[in-house]
Amino acid sequence: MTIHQHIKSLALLLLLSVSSMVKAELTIEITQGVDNPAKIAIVPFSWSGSGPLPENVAGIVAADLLRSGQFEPIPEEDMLSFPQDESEVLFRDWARLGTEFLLIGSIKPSLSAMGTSGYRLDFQLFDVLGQRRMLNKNVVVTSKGLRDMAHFASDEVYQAVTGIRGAFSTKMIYVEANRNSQGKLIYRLNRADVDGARPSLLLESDDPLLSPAWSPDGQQVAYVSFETGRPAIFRQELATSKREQLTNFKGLNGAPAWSPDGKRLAITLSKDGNPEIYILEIASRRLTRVTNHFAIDTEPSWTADGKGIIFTSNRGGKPQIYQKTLASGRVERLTFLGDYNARARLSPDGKTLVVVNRQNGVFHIAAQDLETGDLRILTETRLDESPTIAPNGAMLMYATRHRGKGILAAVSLDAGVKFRLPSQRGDVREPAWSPYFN
Amino acid sequence: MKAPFYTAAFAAVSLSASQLAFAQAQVVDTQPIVDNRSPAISQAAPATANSQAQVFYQLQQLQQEVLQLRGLVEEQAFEIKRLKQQRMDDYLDLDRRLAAVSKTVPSASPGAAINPAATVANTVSAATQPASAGDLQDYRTAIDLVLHKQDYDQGEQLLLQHISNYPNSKFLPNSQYWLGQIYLIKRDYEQAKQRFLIVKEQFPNHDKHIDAVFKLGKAYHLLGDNANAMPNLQEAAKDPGSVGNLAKKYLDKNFR
Repeated sequence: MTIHQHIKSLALLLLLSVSSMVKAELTIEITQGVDNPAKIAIVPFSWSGSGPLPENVAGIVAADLLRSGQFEPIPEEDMLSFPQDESEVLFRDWARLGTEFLLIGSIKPSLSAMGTSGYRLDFQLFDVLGQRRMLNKNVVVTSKGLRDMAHFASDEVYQAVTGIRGAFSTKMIYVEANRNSQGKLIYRLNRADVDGARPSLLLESDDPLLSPAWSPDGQQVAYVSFETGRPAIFRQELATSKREQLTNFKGLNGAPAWSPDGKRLAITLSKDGNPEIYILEIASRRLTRVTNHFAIDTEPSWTADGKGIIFTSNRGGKPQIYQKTLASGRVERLTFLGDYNARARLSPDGKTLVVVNRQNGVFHIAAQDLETGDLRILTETRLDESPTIAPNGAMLMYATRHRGKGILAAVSLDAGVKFRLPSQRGDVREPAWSPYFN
Repeated sequence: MKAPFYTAAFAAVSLSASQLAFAQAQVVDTQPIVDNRSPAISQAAPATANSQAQVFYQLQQLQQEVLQLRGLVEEQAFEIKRLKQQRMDDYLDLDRRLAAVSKTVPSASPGAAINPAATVANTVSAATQPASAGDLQDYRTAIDLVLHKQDYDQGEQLLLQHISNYPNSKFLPNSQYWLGQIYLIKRDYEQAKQRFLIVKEQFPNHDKHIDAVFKLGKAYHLLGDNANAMPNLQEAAKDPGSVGNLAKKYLDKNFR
């Protein structure tokens, strides 16, 4: 923890264009940033169409980059000029402000790919110190796609500077629980941008919804619903909202996890007495039992190559993470630090295991380096749960409690950057970060 | 799950204790006051409707126990693996340091040999200097002659050569010791005494030191010098290992 003491707290409250997004339910509060973020000037983009644009695109880019922790956008008031074209850029002026990078752009009306009205953004990124252009790109979106446009630009800038693919264009799903006017809890499965904007309802239910999981292609979600009176696993196509019930076994049906090829689900069933891991082949509905132990085996997830299942088991007396190689049947224990390790997720590169770890009675999110075995506590709040990792492995989101409410929060895998996405109403929990969509 | 069981068992024990207090000499059958849920003392349980529940309970206890044991085994296996790795890392680290030291020693040791202030450093450098191929080979040949072929004359020659050829060899104390052994066997006790004295006085931290002290005592005794034999044998007898035992036996046998 001492490592992070030098990291300054930014404690910035960002309201993401609330004016137009009345439905935006999650706002972002950055609680901690890295020590030396790169200073970037994001000049407000010009707009050559009529009437005001419904979104402040440059503002969204600035918010994206600030949230990554790797950038510090300089305030608009400090800018000496608002160049719209490379010919108008005076590197000396920007260098004087201490700016390392400069992003300029112009938006104009354009026909979208579907032939409807839309927008086109041309943007350029400059390296101020090197006095050279790093990026010159454009993107065309539909009339509702201004946020997509902004996230695209953020992804490009992030990758150009850090070398890591950006994940600003990805989505998340989460479960929200609210009391209705009769005081009854209503559960909603929502999908939103990873900055919390543009939430859309996937499913509303009077009964609990749990464990949402993205299919690897990002086209479907699987989740547990209690609508039939007992837990059952469903899958739902996002584009069509078509739903299908996959399991209806006696007892527990839970924790679905898609295989990397998207053809199978690892699930937990207690139909044979106590919770065990099974693999359900979706097309044939064939069920294969993975674990067989009188202890509890649950919370499966797949290794990136699909050859192993990582799961939580208390076969050692305490919940710990184990890995089973499917071909050989060999089971190996992965976690040894802390008296409780559960809900494991592997980072996309397979080198880091993210777990809910308990030490001294407090639940944290922790990352374990699988090669060295070193465990890094990422979060310092209590009752942190359900970690889900971004597809670029740079950040993870988790559920925690803040001022008595269930909220989502995010932390970088090196624990350098933290932010909260407080919900404006109700409890938010069980986040799932989408894969890349292309 | 475990706590209630312990409390129940504890209550049963304290109950029986209070009964015992009433009839001290009487042998009390503890059966009636044993808590029926306690599986540890229920082997002779009657075949009542309760017995199935007891078996079930016992099974649960066993499962719990197995889980804990498994956890313990896993953790210990992990710890062993970690320690092995650490030992290997430490060894490699030490090896690297020794290699670094051996590069600096050759230039330093001639000075150390002359400088009386550096006698400790001398023994240390002698002990830590890595064996050159010839050094090790000569020493092995000599020891092989002594220990396996019992060719003491040839062995004596080779050991003497080894000592003069490699004055800084890390096997020097060993050579001196085995030479002493040869002289003991040849009943040349005066020569033996001198060799063991070298090991005793110049290599106080060497493995063979305590052996040399014992053999020195023996050599003095065989020379008839009991005044010098006793302190050496008594020093050797303090050794917690096999040398101490040998020295004690020798003392018992010859100095009663």
